[in-house]
Amino acid sequence: MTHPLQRLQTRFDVPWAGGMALALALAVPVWYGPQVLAHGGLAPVAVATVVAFFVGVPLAQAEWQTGALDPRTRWNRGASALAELWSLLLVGAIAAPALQGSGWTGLALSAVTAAGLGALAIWSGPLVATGLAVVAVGVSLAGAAAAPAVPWTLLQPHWESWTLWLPGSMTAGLLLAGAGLGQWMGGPAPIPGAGRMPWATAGAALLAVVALSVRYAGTFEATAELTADPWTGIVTGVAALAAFVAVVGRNGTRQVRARRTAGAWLATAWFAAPAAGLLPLWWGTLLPLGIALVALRIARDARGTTRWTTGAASVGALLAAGLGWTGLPPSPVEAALAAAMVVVTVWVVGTRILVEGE
Amino acid sequence: MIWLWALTAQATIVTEAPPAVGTEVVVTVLDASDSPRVGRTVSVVHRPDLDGERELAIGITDARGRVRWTPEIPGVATVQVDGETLDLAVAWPGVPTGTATLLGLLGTAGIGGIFFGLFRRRRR
Repeated sequence: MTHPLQRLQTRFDVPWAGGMALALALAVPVWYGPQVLAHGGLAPVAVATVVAFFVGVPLAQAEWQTGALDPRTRWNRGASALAELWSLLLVGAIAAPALQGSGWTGLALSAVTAAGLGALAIWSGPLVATGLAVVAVGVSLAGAAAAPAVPWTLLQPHWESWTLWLPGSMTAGLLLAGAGLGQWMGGPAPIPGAGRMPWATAGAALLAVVALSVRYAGTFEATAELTADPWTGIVTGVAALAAFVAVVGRNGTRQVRARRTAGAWLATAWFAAPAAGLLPLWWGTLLPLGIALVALRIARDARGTTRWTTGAASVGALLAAGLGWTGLPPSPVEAALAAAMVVVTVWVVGTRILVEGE
Repeated sequence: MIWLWALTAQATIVTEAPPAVGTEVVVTVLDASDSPRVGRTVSVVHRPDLDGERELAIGITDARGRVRWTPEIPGVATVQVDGETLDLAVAWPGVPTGTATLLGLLGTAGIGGIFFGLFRRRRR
């Protein structure tokens, strides 16, 4: 007899894929704090929207159609490993600022939270991630409707400062569709007529970004301070939890999900304390570089227009990585930590390529 | 809206009314004992700490510690004198069409994406 939850999952297979991707895409509103608005207002959001609908959505559709990369090919195994590692690091990067300065108590609390979320992800990652994502989007819209003042000052677009926000916008555009990190590749292929789900994912994530921007701008208009308030704190907190569950709860055995839980928590602790200074390097270059490599692998095996769109996405992400280059870390300690990240990446990807192919 | 900076050992800045574009408002600078501070240069920073920040000198305080200011740029601004500041918002004369249009387009794109992605095309 089929479990009721399994029947529910079967009925909503398509929305679950979109919900999981939406949960990951909500990393963008967590990342896009008031400082991004301070540089360009709605201009970076507009650029991210264009990238999302013209590049991110086609890439997401290509990922979804492709499904899991054939593990018999070593470069496919490497791309899958890179996508998974980069997803864990993304979750760590968005959760780390909340943990910074909280000391050992914060670290212990975060471990307990991670364990709880991991248990939920093992029980039903798609259900929990989708639920949290819907709550985050809903609360963001409510917060925008209740903005304390007219939000125009902070929202005014400033295109002349594009060098400050363009690379991040391009990366955010890809993330708005949940593309480039393998989030669409874990589930079943879309049924006929259902391949448009990435549009809904990008649309919902964009609404959350716009709503949070309105809330930040209203708070700034009322207080002249670029700061979060309880509404934005709730939205970004729930969105971070959703992204955590979405990444951890992808397809896999319980053991795999448990390892992902530990990996996501370690990534959070990594960016919270020792590697906090590497966050600009991560957002500016490392993240889009990883997306570019994953998209390149998908393009390699694709045919027709799909190859062109995924290739264009890869080129766009590479461009973002180049424009977002912040230079090598000035401190020897941070440079060593950056090198350690590269070493770990090579080790993880190399292990998947060599060992799992035997 | 008016925010009054707490009394400090330096100065207090007050405005007689919420500032609005094109409407003259009097800015008064007082010291800790509520005596007018004379001959002080008062400036205003529009869009403080944001891109497009502009600082304009609005005048020098008279014998009563007052200077007249007619705001030309709406939005959040900071009046500053002798290192002291007053954050305030110059009322918008109307909805800025460019920003509002862009905001509307982004919201429409989001809603449109959701509907386009969720609802399947019916085959006849």
